[in-house]
Amino acid sequence: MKRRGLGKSAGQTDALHQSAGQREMGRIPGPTRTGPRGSAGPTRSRLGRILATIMLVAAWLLLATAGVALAATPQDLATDISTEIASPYCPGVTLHDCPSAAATDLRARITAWAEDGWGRARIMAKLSSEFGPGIRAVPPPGGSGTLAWLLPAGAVIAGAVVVAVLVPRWVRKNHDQAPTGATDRPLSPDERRRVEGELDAFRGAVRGDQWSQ
Amino acid sequence: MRTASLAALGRPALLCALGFAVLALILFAMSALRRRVPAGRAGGRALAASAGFTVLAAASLLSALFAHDFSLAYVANYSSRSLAGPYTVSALWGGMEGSLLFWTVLLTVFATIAVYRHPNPDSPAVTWAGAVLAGIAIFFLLLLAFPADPFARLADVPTDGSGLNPLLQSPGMLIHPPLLYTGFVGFSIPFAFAMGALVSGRTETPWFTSTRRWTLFSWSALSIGIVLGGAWAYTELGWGGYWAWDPVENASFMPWLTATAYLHSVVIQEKRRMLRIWNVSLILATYALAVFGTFLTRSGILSSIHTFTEGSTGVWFLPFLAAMLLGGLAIIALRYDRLRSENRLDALVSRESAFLANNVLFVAAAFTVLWGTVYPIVAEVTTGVRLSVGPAFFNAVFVPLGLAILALTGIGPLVSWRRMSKGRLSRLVRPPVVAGIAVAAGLWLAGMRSAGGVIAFALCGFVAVAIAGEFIRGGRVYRASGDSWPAALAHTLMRNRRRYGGYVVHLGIVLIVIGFAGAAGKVERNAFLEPGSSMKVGAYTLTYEGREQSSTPEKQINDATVAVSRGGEPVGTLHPQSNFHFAQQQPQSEVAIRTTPVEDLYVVVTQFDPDGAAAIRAFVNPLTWWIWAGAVVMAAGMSVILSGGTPHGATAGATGRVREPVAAAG
Repeated sequence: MKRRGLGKSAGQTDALHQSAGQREMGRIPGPTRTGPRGSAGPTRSRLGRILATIMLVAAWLLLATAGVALAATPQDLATDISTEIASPYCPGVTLHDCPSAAATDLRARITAWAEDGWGRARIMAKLSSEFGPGIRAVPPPGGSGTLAWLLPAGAVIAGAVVVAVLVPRWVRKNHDQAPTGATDRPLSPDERRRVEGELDAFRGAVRGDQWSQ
Repeated sequence: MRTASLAALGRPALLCALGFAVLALILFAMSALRRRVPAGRAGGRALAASAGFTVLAAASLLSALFAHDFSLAYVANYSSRSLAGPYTVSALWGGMEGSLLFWTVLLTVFATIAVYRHPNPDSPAVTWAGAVLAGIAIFFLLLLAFPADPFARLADVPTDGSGLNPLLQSPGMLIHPPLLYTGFVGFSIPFAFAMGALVSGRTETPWFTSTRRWTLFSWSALSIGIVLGGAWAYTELGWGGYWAWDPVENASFMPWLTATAYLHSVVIQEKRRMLRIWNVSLILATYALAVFGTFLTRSGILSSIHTFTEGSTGVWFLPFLAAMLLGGLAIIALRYDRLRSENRLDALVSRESAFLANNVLFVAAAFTVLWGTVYPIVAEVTTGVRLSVGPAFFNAVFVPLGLAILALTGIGPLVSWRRMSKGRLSRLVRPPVVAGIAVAAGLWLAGMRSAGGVIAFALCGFVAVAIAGEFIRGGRVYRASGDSWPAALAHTLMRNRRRYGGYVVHLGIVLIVIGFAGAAGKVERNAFLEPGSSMKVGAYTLTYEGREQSSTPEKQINDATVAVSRGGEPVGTLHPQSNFHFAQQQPQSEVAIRTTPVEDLYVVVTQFDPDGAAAIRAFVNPLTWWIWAGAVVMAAGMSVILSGGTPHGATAGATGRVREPVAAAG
């Protein structure tokens, strides 16, 4: 059966399968809400976006550093450290994940140091002196290590800049060029009747199970 | 003798497959350049013949494995007489040469199906796509014919083989590698069709529509393959975790990230004819990362506990990868003008913007993983110090990005296409936000102090309520026509399988993240126990009761008996093992896990003393069960999407039309 009323042209979705927002489109199309609001508007909103971007990146950095939680017990500290160092016995694997007997012994030594009251820095220094600086399974501070930490942040910032600066500009260009068809007005009684009528027809079709995928 | 003759078919079959692939390339190119349809059809037949001979070669190798034909080096290296039957099948992909042969089987068969099943197989775009696929097949068949010959013979034939690595003798290994390869190889289809459309100049061709099922199928296979890999690591490797940010794990994760970005952004191209350059670039990046991952696992350039297929072929992948990337980028640059978007964003608050943000985050995440993976090489070149980058780095840089992506998973479905009022959006977002805040507050009051954990759980609550809201809003229409709620929800799901199936996949992701977030409460304890002594881990008391020894032809078994109690009440007995495999002269721990939806008790014996004392590692892993449950939900969602017909927006790319709001139309 051919659908009436709310029937779709190519690329359209029916009322049921629009997102919740789309179902409300008739009420609040809203393009004028995103347009320029006077001379100070764009500058202020750009500043707001930049501030929002900075806050997002700061939140990201905060969350990243929050990952280094304080260990509750010496055993937890030993476990944390074992996940941060490369195993000298299993190439490419942290000490924590290395199944060898020698790794078991080294984990036990680290636990013993932690139980003796050694802190993280002292244990790491001891391990570095014993096995070399390559034992740390994180980029070292300084030099290329700094770059290792900063590049992902750079990727995030670059992405945030794209979203925060380029996309609104893209939208504004579109508004400059687009015909002003849609308005922010509510539905007229006639339009509301049309929508209700078509929804009734749609519900009837659903009840009759006449639609197929 | 029959066995030997079957194995003898392998190499000739491979050479025939190579010959037909070359012929297919020539015919496809001739057809495309000279507009000769019959040549293109002949190219399709040549590609099918190449697939047939590749399958024959794989069958030959499989028969040699089952017949224990140790005159073949591959059979001698990766199987043995005592190897169980199902693992003899997995030996086909357990070594480098066999895995490349398996990869090539998938590639040639997929390529043949894609070309033959295309609705317009004679079009220049499809002909060029066939040429690209034939070119890729030639590369892999050249590898198999020369540096990675699976049919190489030994001068001295051993009486028994070395056997398959004990780590690979696991049920997960029967499914995990084939799924990963299916994912990797499957992406070659949309990649080839994208390149075909560009080379032929048919940039208006909706190549993404005709390859949608391939993309979804490959992404689904890769997703499930990755989770199964995690399950294998969890049950076999004995370190209490499922993901270690190992280079080989990352190799499968990077294309998954860019493919996920592509799956979202291609919807914008379908509906709005936007992001065409971006989508072609994403599919190029996805396939390039899949090939790069193959290079990583086969070159030995980075150390990994997962590298079972290392060999001398890695270096061959670099020129192939370079040619693919440079060629792809050059074609994109050449067609830049034709690929420019016809539409622009209507508003900042729109589904398009949400998808763009999603894409930026996914690509940033992929870059982060790529950078962390290759950083040890960069460091070694620049400083001369061989470093490794472990979970501490990846967790610090990736987790915040992952949480942001999770937040967008909840926000995206609430935003309409083209534009939406901020007021309406804030009304729709309110219930999920309230749910998220309630979850965070509840966890904080319950004593959870891990910031990452609280945020992750809160976002899971936010996304779950957002998805539930979408189902409820969709179901209300059917409720109004008299359906019960279950029937209304089922109707909603089946009426638009792509959209609501996608929400089911998102729900699976939420469950998986719940499992990940549970790691914030992980407890690990290590102890060296004499028989009869106990240790505590979390709320459990483990009492080591002793060891029993036995032997099979394959291994010596050392079975520990560990009694488990909780609050003084016995809850069961676990039997972790530390075994010794004779063929490989290799020890191997077998983990014992008591699993519940609340938490896993995970016990592994790392070593035994001659007097029977045992070194025991015990973990309490909260909520890990939800990772596997989430994977099942994801698989269900993917099945729903794949079972659907052509989605409503499928033809929008051709027409560029998008539904106008009723009010605007009036």
